[in-house]
Amino acid sequence: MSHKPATDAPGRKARRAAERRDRYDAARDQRRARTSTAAGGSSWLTTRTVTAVAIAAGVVLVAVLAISQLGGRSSTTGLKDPGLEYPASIQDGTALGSATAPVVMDVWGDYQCPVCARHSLDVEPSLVNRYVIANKLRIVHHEVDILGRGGNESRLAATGGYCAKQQDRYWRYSHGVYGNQQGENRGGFSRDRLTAIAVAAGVDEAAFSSCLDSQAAADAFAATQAQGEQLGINQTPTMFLNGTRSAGLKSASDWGALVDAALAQASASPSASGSAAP
Amino acid sequence: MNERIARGRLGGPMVLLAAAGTAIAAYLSVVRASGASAVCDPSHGCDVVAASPYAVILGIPVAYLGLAYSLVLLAVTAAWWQRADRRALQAAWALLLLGTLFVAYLTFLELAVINAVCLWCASFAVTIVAGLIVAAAAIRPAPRESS
Repeated sequence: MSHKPATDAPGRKARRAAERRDRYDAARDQRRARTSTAAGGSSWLTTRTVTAVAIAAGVVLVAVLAISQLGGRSSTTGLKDPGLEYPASIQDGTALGSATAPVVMDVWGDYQCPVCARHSLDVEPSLVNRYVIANKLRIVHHEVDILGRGGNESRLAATGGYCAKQQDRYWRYSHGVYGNQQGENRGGFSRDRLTAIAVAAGVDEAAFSSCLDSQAAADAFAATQAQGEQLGINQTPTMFLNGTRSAGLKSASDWGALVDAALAQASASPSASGSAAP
Repeated sequence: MNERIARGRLGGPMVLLAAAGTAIAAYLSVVRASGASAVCDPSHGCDVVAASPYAVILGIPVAYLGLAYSLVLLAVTAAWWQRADRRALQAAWALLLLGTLFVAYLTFLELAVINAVCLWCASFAVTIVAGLIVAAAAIRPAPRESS
């Protein structure tokens, strides 16, 4: 069966003809390239030229995009945009995820705490991606003043969180604050700078400013602070995963293992699921 | 009667890959337009990626740009396959080079900035890179027959 049927002969001829033409075209390109190089001719449409132009155009395109998108993370106001934006469907005030999720993680943080920033900006997105969107986990943030040392920066930033929440911009604001830390009690969270962060997060400036001065915002902060003291929150971040306390920074994979265990426990005894916290 | 029309070398696989890319981009465009979640995305990475500010360029969703790009690529690969017009092959080669650089940038964003991977986007990137490899083989002169 090594002989091909005779009826394939015309097809083979056509293929050979195509291959010959292909070789001819490629050789012509090479000739043109040589001619054009030697004599500065106008045969510019060679494969080599096309390749060079495409790569150059691609590099320029990607460079422009990278500068506008990643360079844009540092705005003209000198503020960095962490570039995180969770789907609106999972945002619920200072919480993320379904209220009926079987596992709840309460996160107690201080906006001046750098470890809290790493948790919020580097670890939490993976948890959101893996668990929150899948309705397995609900994350609830609580901001308190642990590092203020008599100053007002932690308190003011936390109060700003309450005010951003009033305009459904809590998460953008929270990421903006964590992404723009400038050391503890060094003026990084002055009223003006917090307002600029809020505005960058899409918060209405006048309403935010008026809210910062309101009694409701002061009361909300005082209530959260009192609740934190009652729970003995003396370091941040402190988390409660379905009521089980844990402090400090953990990797996303470590948290993933804990959430998986909590999910297994919740499915084994559904009545024990949900927030035992705070 | 049995005469065949000469076709561009490796045109079939190139068209197939471009069609697969077009189908993926069309699906992601529908998902984007409807606001639904992508199917077969266990980690929900596509939701996170689509919600990021990098999913829109100059006000146009990247999914729509991907669809427009894929349609053009499909047209030029089909032209190469059907007519063996080397200019079409060169156009496809240029588009695939551009596309490869662009999907490399988008993949970098997913891994290093957004911290989420969209499997549909990754599949689209695979069709582009595979298309580039096939086009690289096609654009080289055919080996001479030893006879």
